[in-house]
Amino acid sequence: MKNKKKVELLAPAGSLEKLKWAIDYGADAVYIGGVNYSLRANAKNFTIEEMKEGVKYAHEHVAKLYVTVNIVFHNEDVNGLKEYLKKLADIKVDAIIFSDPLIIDIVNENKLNLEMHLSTQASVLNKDAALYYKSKGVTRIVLAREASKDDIKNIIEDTGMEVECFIHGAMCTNVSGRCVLSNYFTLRDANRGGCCQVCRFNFDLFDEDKNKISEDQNFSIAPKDLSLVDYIKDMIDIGVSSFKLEGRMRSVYYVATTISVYRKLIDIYSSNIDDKEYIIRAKKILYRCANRDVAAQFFNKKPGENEQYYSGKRQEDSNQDFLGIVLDYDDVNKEAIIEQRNYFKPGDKVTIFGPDKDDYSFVIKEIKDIDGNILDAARHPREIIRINCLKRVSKNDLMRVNFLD
Amino acid sequence: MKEIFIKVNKDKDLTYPCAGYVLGIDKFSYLFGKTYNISEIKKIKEKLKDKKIFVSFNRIIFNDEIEEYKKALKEVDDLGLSGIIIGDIAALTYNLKTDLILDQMHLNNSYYTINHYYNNGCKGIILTNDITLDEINEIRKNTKAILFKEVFGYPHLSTSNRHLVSNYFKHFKLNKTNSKYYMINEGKNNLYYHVVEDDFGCHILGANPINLLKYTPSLNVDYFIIDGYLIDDIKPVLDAFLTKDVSKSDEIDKLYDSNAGFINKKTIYKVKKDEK
Repeated sequence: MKNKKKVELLAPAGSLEKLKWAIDYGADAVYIGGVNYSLRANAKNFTIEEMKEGVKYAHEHVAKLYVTVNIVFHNEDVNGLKEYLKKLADIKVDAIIFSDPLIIDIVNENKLNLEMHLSTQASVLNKDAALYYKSKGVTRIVLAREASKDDIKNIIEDTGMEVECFIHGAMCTNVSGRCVLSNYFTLRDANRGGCCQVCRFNFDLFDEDKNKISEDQNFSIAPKDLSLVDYIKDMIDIGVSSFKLEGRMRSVYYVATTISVYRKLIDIYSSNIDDKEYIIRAKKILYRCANRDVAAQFFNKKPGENEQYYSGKRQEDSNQDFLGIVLDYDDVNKEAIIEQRNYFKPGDKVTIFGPDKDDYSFVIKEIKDIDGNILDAARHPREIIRINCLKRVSKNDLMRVNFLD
Repeated sequence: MKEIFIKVNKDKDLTYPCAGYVLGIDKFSYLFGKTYNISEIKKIKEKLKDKKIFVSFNRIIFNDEIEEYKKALKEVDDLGLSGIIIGDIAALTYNLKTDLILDQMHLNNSYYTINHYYNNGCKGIILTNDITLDEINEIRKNTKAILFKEVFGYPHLSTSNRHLVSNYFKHFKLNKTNSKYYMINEGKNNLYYHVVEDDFGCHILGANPINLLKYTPSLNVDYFIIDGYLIDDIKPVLDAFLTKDVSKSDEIDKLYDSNAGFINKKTIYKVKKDEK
């Protein structure tokens, strides 16, 4: 049973499978998108039936489930929206995350039992804008990511509203919702879930007379990813209600790793424990997991050149560290039964981690196939294998490269 | 009767014979070639008594600016102007007497949304550049809100709170030029998008101005806005719009390399596999 705190750890879940992993690894709540009306139009997203199962799983595990209904609606998109919102209320989702205020009218006029959380897409940066939404029944605001620590603190104090903040993951270079670069560059509608991330493109920069500024250096507007790992305590202290991770399109390994690390950090700080060693480890784990440079962005100062990418080599998820999933444990032979994900061999240093337990690191001495035949390496994705493992591990623990010791 | 307004980017724009003007205000407007302080706005209003004057507070407002913002809004409210354009809905909580017109770039694309704001204190809306003629006319049929539509000018595509150009020059230790604006090109086509840096951060505007002259007879809105931002001479455009001479549309396109934007084409968002 995880240590429930007042501060909420909110995880992305791009599928039912990821939803379960996120909750198992310590999320207090998950946010998902439906097949329609969500800003990740090209993700797998959830049917109503899957959402129902998600709600059941979440509530059984004392967690909450929020559904994003956060596109900016065109006239034609509104058809069927009222019925959809009614279904969300019927299946008892814990809240919807929206940006378009027409949602407020539908929820209020139809007296739908839906808690309303305002998305960062609405770009709220001040207390009075927040109070406008509060007066309409909105209970929580996801502030624009440009909000500083002082902004966040003062808005919480002056509005009494719950404030949800992103703490980790990719971020827009522009104010969320105030960007349609994707529409103009590729015809894909940014505010209806089609964003093609023009802010990750490389450009040449020219002056007003079309003289190229540099033959050697591309112009980039890409920001580094957000990480507020150094500011978790500050955020707890100023009263942030929910700590949100970005990444509904990310892998199970990413979700489990980031959630387990932030779960532990939040629990450490909430208990006033000063575990400097874990904090150092946490940073290393988070960095390896995404393999991207990170910055605190707007939290402690206005970002400058050091908060942007210029290399043009921004790396995407690198899950080579992810070696396998524990399926079972053989107490008699002291072996973990693993479903392989990436290549490993005897002699490799590995770490097994899971919910509510300390990481366990050891050296692989022997790998066997499921029939007990000795293997020189685990080469095949999803192959079921057995490895020596003195400590009892559990189903759905994950095994990764030990890059810390 | 659709009236034509000019977004004022230089003092000279105030001499053009149109129904009214949209003025930027110091500190709380962006993407204006020129902004004015309250006493200047007052003088303009007194001088141009027969013209409608709107002042645009089109910026998003940070929490530590909110008292100053509120004070400036109240002062402008007392001038008795035709309207105040707002980019931040904080203004809806101040009980202002002047008609409020909402301008949130890309956020209000349906009549349902527009009606939400109309019912909560917004008299009108500046429509986005991202919707089609059919969508605009459907909005008209279903709202009482006053509708403004930019019919000429560079579309505003994005706003960042980062100084992206300065950061680039600094990072690569390049000498910053005196250029008023910059352009970016992807290297795959001949489109040069405009980049403007100001105190707020950085804005990207379209590669080409939008020209909706030929669509004006069928655009069912209340006011047309002409915006000459980053354009040297807007007079030929204004002449064509004021005389309603749609036959000059191609000529304007040739002169300014303009196009119709999204007025006749829809954006997509459920991308098919082969389009990814």
